Amino acid sequence: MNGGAVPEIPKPPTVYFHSWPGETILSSPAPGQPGLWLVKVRVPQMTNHSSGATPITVLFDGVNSNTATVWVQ
Amino acid sequence: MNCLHWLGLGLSLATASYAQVIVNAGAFEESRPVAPNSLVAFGEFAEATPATANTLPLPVLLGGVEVLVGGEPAGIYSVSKTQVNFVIPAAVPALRYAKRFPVVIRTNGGSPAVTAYALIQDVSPAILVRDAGDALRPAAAFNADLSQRARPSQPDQGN
Repeated sequence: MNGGAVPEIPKPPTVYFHSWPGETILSSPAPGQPGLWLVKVRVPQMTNHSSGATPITVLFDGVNSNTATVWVQ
Repeated sequence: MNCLHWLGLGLSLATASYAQVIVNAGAFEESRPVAPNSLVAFGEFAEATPATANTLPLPVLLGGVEVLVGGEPAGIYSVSKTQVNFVIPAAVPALRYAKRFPVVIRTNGGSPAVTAYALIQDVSPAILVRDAGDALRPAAAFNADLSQRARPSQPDQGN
């Protein structure tokens, strides 16, 4: 160490299903696909949410993504 | 029931308030920045010869088209007369807060060229969508067994 600033490693992204966060299992560059990132996430239990179209967003390093939809049952 | 989804995320998105706009190739939103190392799209380059990259690293010259972002050559996925897909170079000095960078799309040889602008910041996540024309924006998500969960036209048949 030479006294320089320690690089800050951002936390893994969090995927929200509605407002429920999923458990992020993997976050890495997508193999063989430059420019894309791969996130593996466990769908959370969503109390009082029926199955069907579910909005998802990603929060990464304090920045929110667009909203997309997955279908959950 | 819990299940696992893989979500493809382009870590960025870009936009410009000019006529020529660079957008994240997954989300196609014009309202947020793009980030280095993210896949983006540019539309309408009539001089392009349609081509798709089939090698890695991505070529910086494809279908007679090259792209410079802040002077840095970009790896190109595909070109057509209606869309050029490329990756914002990692060498572009992204900042915590978005900064506008010129993007030059030109044929090999330098002319004719189009200059657009990309708003670039260090982080800008975007979820890939399968159909940007679908109002629900279905995510490019997969089940844990890599089967796809497309938007159902009837109640889900998935796991």
